[in-house]
Amino acid sequence: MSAIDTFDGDSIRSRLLAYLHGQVGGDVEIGPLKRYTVGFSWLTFGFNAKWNEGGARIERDLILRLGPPSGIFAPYRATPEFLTLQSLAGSGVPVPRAYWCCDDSEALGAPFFVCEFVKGDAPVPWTADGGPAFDETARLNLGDQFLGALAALHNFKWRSAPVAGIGGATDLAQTARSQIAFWEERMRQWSTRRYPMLEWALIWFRARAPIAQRISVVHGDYRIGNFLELDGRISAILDWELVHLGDPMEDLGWICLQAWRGRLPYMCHLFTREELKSKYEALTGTKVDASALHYWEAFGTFKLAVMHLGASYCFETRDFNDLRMAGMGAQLPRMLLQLESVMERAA
Amino acid sequence: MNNSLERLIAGIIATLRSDVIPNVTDAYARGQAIGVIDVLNNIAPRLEWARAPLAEAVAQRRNAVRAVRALVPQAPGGAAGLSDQAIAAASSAELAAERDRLDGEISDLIAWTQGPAAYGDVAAATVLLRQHVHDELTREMKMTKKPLFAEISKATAGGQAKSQS
Repeated sequence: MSAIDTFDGDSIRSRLLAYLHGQVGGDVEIGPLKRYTVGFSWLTFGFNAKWNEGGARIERDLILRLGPPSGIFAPYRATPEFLTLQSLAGSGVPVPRAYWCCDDSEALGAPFFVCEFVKGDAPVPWTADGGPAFDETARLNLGDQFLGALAALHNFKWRSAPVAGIGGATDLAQTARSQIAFWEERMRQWSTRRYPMLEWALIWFRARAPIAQRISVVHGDYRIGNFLELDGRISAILDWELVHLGDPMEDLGWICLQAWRGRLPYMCHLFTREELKSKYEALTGTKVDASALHYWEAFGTFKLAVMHLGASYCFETRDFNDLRMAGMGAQLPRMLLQLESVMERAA
Repeated sequence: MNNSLERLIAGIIATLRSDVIPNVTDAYARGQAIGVIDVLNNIAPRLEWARAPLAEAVAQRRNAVRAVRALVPQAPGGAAGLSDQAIAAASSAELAAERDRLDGEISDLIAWTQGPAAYGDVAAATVLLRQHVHDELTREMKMTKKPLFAEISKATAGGQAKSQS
């Protein structure tokens, strides 16, 4: 079968129907596909499905996530995210239930997985006036849930679960070096132009790579914007495409990025750096090393700057006509100045 | 900007054609959107990136490289760049290529000064390189407008719940 036309919902729907027919082994109905336009990477469609299971007729609202060949992290693999969602079901991390997964492009023309539709709104870090995203009550309430889910993720016993197969670094001394290598490769792939600030940062990261205290499942993009909130409750943690095994401090550093808080003192609009440290320590029983936290904050800023290069590259070379990608590329100087600033603070 | 002018204009036109105009219901607004495409089609062959900021970017990089090499003359040399005369006559595209070549040379100088083989007045060269990188980013920031992420997010959500996106 040919690669997918990312905007042809009818074609995707008919191929999905054939795939699900094979999976549930019988009569299956699916409604129209509704495309959600908010993501930059995976394509997301919502649909209703009905099938027979154990003699009963099942009806579910589901989500189809497709990794398009033109996407920023293409070529994609759906398995890591799927195995993670499967493993974390029933844990203290609220995740959508995972149903089916396929890394073979034969079925739909691109790797994909199907999971439960979860209701909720995703608060974003950008507010019109640069002010707080939450009032004080909501900030404290959501902040505690956000950290509770993170602590549950980092304390999750991954070695005996399917998520052990997602890849990453399991050597305490190699977690940072593994991430440096991964993102340097992306940087070279996405930009032939060399940016002195990024080159400097790579030297800086290599010279200061911390040794992890432990290995956990690392979300890789844990922040405001990637959770759903419904009636004051975090109903799901989303966007697991960068999930890997590694140093849990990496997620904490990412939470501290200026990009998710602007000039506010609240990381991800939810808690101060001190609150993050003390609450995380209390929840996990693991000490947060301040220098490791700063290191991973600096590394996260580098990673986000590289993602900006990826957005430009996708727009330039892959006929990805989403102008938000070009807009991201225009913000690279801002990201590089933030990188300089956080490296100076961490030094 | 990180994208080419040609690709940006092509992307704007494609977005208007495929994503915007089919969803504009007001006839006057639709006519205006098509008018934007018409104008873009006609100005595209006549546009290039502004020459003055590119010439300034090249001049600042050349100055930095010259000053650093005076402090650490043992540092490996870079590829030959454009002559003064060639720069004076260079197009915007040629200036952008020269800027990128100089960024590569500056990156190599950073790597060398931070490496084990560096000698000479490395500390002073490091300070100069850091200052140059900072100053150039600050200069770029003066041309970088605040992103409209808040407005984009609000428009994209459109009151609908985000789900697994």
